[in-house]
Amino acid sequence: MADRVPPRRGSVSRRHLLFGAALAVWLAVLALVAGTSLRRLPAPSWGNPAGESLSAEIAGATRVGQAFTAPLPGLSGLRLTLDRASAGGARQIILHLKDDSQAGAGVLTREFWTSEVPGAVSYRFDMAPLRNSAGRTYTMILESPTSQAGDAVAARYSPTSALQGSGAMLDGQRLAGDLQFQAVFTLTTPQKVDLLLTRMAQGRPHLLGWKGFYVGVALAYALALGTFLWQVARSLVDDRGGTA
Amino acid sequence: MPLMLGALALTGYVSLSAGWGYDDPYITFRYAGNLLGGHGLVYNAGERTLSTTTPLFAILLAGLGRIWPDLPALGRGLSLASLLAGSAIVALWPRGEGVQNEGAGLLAGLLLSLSPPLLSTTGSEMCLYVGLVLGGLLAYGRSRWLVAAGLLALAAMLRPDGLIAGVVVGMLHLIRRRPLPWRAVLLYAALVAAWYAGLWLYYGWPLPVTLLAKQQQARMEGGAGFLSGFLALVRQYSRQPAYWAGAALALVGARRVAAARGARHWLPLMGWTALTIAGYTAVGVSRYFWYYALMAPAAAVLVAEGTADLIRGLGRVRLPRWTRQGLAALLLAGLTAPLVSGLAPMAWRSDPRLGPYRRAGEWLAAHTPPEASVGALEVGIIGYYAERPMVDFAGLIQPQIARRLAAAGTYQGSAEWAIRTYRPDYVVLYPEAFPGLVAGQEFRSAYVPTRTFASQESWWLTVYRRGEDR
Repeated sequence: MADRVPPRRGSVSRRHLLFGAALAVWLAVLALVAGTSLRRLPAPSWGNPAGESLSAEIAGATRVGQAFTAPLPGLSGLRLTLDRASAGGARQIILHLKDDSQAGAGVLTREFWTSEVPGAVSYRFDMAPLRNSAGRTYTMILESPTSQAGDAVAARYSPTSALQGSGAMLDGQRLAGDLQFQAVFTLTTPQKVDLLLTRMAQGRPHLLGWKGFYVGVALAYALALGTFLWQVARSLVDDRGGTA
Repeated sequence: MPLMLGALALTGYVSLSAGWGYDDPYITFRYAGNLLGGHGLVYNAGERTLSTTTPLFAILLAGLGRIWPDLPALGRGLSLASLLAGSAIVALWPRGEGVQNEGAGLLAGLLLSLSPPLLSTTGSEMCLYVGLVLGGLLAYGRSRWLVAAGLLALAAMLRPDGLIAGVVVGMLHLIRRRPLPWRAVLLYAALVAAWYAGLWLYYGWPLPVTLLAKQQQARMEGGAGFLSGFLALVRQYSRQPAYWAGAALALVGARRVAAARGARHWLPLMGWTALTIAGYTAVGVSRYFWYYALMAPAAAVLVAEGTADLIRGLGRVRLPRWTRQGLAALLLAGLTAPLVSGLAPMAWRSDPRLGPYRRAGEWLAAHTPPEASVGALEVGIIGYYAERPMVDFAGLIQPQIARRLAAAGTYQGSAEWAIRTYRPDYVVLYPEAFPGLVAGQEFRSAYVPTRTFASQESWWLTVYRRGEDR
C-alpha cells in the first residue's frame, strides 16, 4: 500500500484566499483564451453566392446595381463577380456604394478597368468599417459610360435568388433575383459575442430567448469548472500514484 | 460538483449546438419518421433496403419521437446526454479499481466531455455508441457480467462495429483465463443473433448498404481509406503547436497505462480503440470524420493520465504546498481552457449546406407531387424534409449505385449513371461540383433549372426539373 502524506492544513481564511486567487486566475486564462479564439473567428459575410446568369452589359447609359439591407454592423467591403466575353481595350468602370437611409449619400466610389476582367473575376472592394451599418439599406451601382455594348463587362447574376430586403437593379429599377455578391463585415470582439448570443437565443421560447440566460450559464459553468479543476489539482498534488 | 458541472454543460451544449448538424444522421431520422408515420422501418416507402448504419437508433428516435416529434433536436439531445453519461463513466472508472486517487479519472471524464471530435458528431448515434461501449467495458472490469453483456450487445446492435467491443472482452477473458460466465455469454449471443436475424429477415441482408457504399467511395478518384485519413489527421494536428503538449502528455500517459503498477484498468479501453482502428482499416471504408471520434475516450484517458503523472511529479518537488497546487491548477487551466473556448465555433460556424438543403427539401415537399422522385448527391437533409422517393448518387440508398461507385470513378460519373438509369423527376445539384454534368447536352436537354437555394455566404444548389416533353 502506498504511503499517503496528510495535507498540511492552513487556516480556513488562507485556504479560501488561495482558492479565490486560483479561481480568478482560471477566469482570466479562460477569458484570454476565449477572447483570442473569438478574435480569430472570421466575421460572416452576407449576400448571394449563386450566379448562373449574366446581367445586362455595363455600357453607355446602362447601370447595373444591387440594393441590400446590411444584417450586421461593421460593413467593410463588397465582393462581386464580373464577367467579360471579349478581350478588347481598357474602359473605365465605376462602382458607387450609396447609403439609402441617408438620402443616397455616397459611401464608396472605386474606379477600375475592363481590361482587368479576363473572363469571370471576383472583385473585392474594401473600405473603413461602417459602425452603424446594421439594418441600413445600401445600393451598389456599376457604370461604364465609355464602354460599348458587345465589348463590355457584365455582372454575374441569379434570377431565382430571393435575398430578404435585397434585389438586383437595372437603370434604377428593381429586378427579380440578385447579383452574385457578398457584403463583407468587420466585427469587434464584443460584436462577435453579441452575434453569438443572438444566434443562440434566436427563435427560442421564454427564458431561452433571452441572451442574458446564456451569459449566466457560461459564467456558472466557468466557475463550476474552475472549482472542479482546483479540487482535481489539490487531490493530484497530494497523490503518490499508488494503488490502495 | 460533477453533477452540477454536467447539468450546466448539457444546457450549454444544447444551446450551442442548436444550429449544428451534418447530412448523414438525417437518413436515420427519415427511417424514424417513416416508422412513426406507419410506413415501416424504411427510407423510401415500399423499399426494404437498410441504408442506415444504425436502425436501432432510428427505432429509439421513433419511440421518443411520440413525445418529442422534432427528430433532429431529439437526436442532438440524445447525443449530448450520452456524451455526458460516457464522460461520467470514464470519471468513475478508477473508483473501485483499487486506485488511491481518482483525479486522473475525473480529468479524463472532463476532457472527454469537451472532446471536439465527439461533439462534432452531435445528432448521430456515435455518442450513444461510445457511452454503451464504455459502460460495457466498465461493467466487465467490475465483473458485472450480465450488465456488461447487455450493454455490449446493445452497442453491437446499435452499430455493427460494436461487435469489436465484444471481441475485446472475449479476448481479455481468455487471456486472463477466467471461467466463462455462461449466462452473460448466452445473453450477449441471443440478443445480437436475434437482432441481426431480424434485420436479415426484414431487409434480406443484415448489413447496411452504407458499408458497401463507403468501401467503394474509398476506391474512387480522390477518395481515401480510413487509415490514410487517420494519418492525414495526425499530420494536421502535428502542425498545430497547441497539440504538441497534449501529444507529449499522452505519451507519458501511455507509459503509465502500460506500467505494471500504473493505470492498467484502462487496458480494455485501449484494446477496443486499437482493434477499432485495425477493424476500420481492414474493412477499407472511406474516411468520414465521425469514425475518428471513436478514439476520443482513449485520447482523453492518455492525456489525463500523463497530466496526473506530471502533477504527481510536482508533488515531489521541494516547494511550498500552495505553490505546487497553484502550478498544478495552472497546468489544468492551460489544458482545458482551449477546449472550453473551442466550443464557441459550434454556434458560430454551422455547415453552409444545412440551410440550402433544408429549404430545398421543404420546397420539394410543398411544390412537387408525393410520388415525384428526387436525385441528389447527399440525400440526408433534403430527403428528410422533402419526404419524396430519393435516388442517392453516393450509393447510400440504392445498392446498384453503391456497387458501381468505384467503376464510375467520380461522383459526377456516378450521378450521370444514376440519372440515366433512374430518371428522377427532380435533380438537386451543387452546380459548381458537377460542371461537366450540368453543361452536358444530355442533362440540359432533359432538365431545366427551376429554383436556386443559397447559403448567405458561399454555397448554393439548384433544383432541376425533368422537362414535360423530354
